[in-house]
Amino acid sequence: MRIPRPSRIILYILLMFFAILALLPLWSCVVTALKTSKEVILSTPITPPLHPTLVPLMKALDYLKKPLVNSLVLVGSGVMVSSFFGSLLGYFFSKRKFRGSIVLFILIILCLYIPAQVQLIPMVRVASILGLHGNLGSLVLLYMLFGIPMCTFIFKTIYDEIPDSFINAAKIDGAGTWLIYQRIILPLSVIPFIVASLLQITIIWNDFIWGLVLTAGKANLPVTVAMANLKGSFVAEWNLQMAGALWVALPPLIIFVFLGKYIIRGYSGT
Amino acid sequence: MTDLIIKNLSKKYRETIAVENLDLKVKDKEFVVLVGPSGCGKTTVLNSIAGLIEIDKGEIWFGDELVTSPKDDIFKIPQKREVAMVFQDYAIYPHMSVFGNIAFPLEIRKIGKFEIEERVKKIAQLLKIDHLLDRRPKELSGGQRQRIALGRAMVRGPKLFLMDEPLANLDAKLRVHARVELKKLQQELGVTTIFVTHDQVEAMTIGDKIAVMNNGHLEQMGMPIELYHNPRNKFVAGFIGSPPMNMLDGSLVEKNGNIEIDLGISSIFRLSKKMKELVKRTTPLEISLGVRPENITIIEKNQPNSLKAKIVYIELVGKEFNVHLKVGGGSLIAIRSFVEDLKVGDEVWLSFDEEKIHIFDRESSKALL
Repeated sequence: MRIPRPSRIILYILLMFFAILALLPLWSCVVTALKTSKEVILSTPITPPLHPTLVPLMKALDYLKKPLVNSLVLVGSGVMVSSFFGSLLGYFFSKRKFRGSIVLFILIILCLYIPAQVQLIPMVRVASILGLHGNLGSLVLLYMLFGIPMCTFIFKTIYDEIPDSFINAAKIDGAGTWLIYQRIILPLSVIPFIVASLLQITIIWNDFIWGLVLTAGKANLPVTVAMANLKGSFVAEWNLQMAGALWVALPPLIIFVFLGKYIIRGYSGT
Repeated sequence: MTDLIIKNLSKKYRETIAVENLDLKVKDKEFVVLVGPSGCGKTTVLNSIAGLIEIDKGEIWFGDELVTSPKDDIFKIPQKREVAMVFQDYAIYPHMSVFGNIAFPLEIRKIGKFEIEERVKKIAQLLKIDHLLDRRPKELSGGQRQRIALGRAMVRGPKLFLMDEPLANLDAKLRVHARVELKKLQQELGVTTIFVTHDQVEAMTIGDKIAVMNNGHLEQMGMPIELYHNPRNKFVAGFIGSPPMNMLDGSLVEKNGNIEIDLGISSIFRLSKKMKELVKRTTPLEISLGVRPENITIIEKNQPNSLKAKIVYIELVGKEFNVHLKVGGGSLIAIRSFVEDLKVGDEVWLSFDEEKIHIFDRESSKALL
């Protein structure tokens, strides 16, 4: 057997150390979620449970059932609508350029950089004018609209790779704008649809602030906000909160494990 | 199946002039090659004919139908022009089968399923790709893809074929083969064809007529043989033919009633009486003497009216040799079928076939003969 060089050994020890450091919160979350309320108080957050129990997990799930469904509705509607419009806009910005289209594209991309904090009050006003404040509809609408710039960007960058000759050939063959989109662009859009959906799913699922300000009442809350409410009013029930966090983290975790490579493609813009 | 007439076409991209005042007439069933160095505007002309770009000035006629005229606000969209185009990258849709690709223009026209199948199969047989119809394009070779692109263009019987360097991405051997096939197909189908290439050899072999373009202008149009033997200017002379026509700078001198070309460093070429008559009409002083490599004879002894030269390099090109020579300050290439009597460094004399020399005005670069 070859003996690794000392520098390698040191490197691996360091890497291991940082990996443990990074995984510590997850470990703490899992072990705490498996403890009874009494054990949470008596042990440190990283000691494994002596008497593991599933009660906190079940209780949290019961509480988060409706919010989980809410978040699924938000993700589903947001992903479908924004990626559809993103794809259409991406097609126009990439293949049907018109006078001023670059400026318009830059303006749309700039929307990505407006911090949510400055939009909070205007959006609450808009939601109440529309009569949607407090209920889930306001969030549905918001995520649909706010997802469009990101999706437009993804679709445009990927559509830029489709040769213009495809479009020109289709035009000469007699296809109009809409038919070209349907027959040529859409079938070549599997990758951007996956990339855009994954990014949208993560963003919408993990979002907290909009759910907090725009919705009220347990029936309307998205899962992140409902999870924060698990804390309890008088006593901090850490095991319940950690169990809730596990449920909330589970869907994005599964997506990252299986489809992570597409998310990387999305960020690198290819 | 129509004539094509372009009148006075101009197109600018921002400040760059792509094409200026171009006139072009293509007769029904003719195969015309647009040839020129890259950036000369040939693709712009092709795209204007297809309707993929709008032009600034001029008219484009398909037979007696005006399809583009900015002056009269006429612009027929490409979808309705009934032309077919083959692109350099073939533009084959990767998500469709070979059948799907060829059938695409017919499906758009909402032609019945049965008829589509019949027509696609007929074209596929003609192009010898009928065994590939179920395959995906990415499984196919460059030559096969090129045929699919041709098939898609041919399947709906267009008025005009437009081809943008369709053979450029094939390897050399396949290209020669494809050239012949393409020419045969075009004759069989009898569709007027405009073919763009930067390769003058391709242009010479494939075209009924060649239109040489440079800097957005049409330099000369004619049959290949015409362009080869009677180039109208220095550019056409240098562009058509491989190796290109040799050019020697000199001046026209009248001496004892004869006309001589002084090539500097005591190299003088005297023109005969007959030639004198031809040149006399205009007599600019500064000229270029052009002579094709095959019209140079290498001799070992000084003869009247021959130029002294030195052999710089001898190059074997298949069955012939290119002999690179230095004459005064200029250099020449001569073609010879044997070189046993020559070696690098030898001093030799060159005589030109007088009937075949060309004289160009150096200022306007126009041919004087």
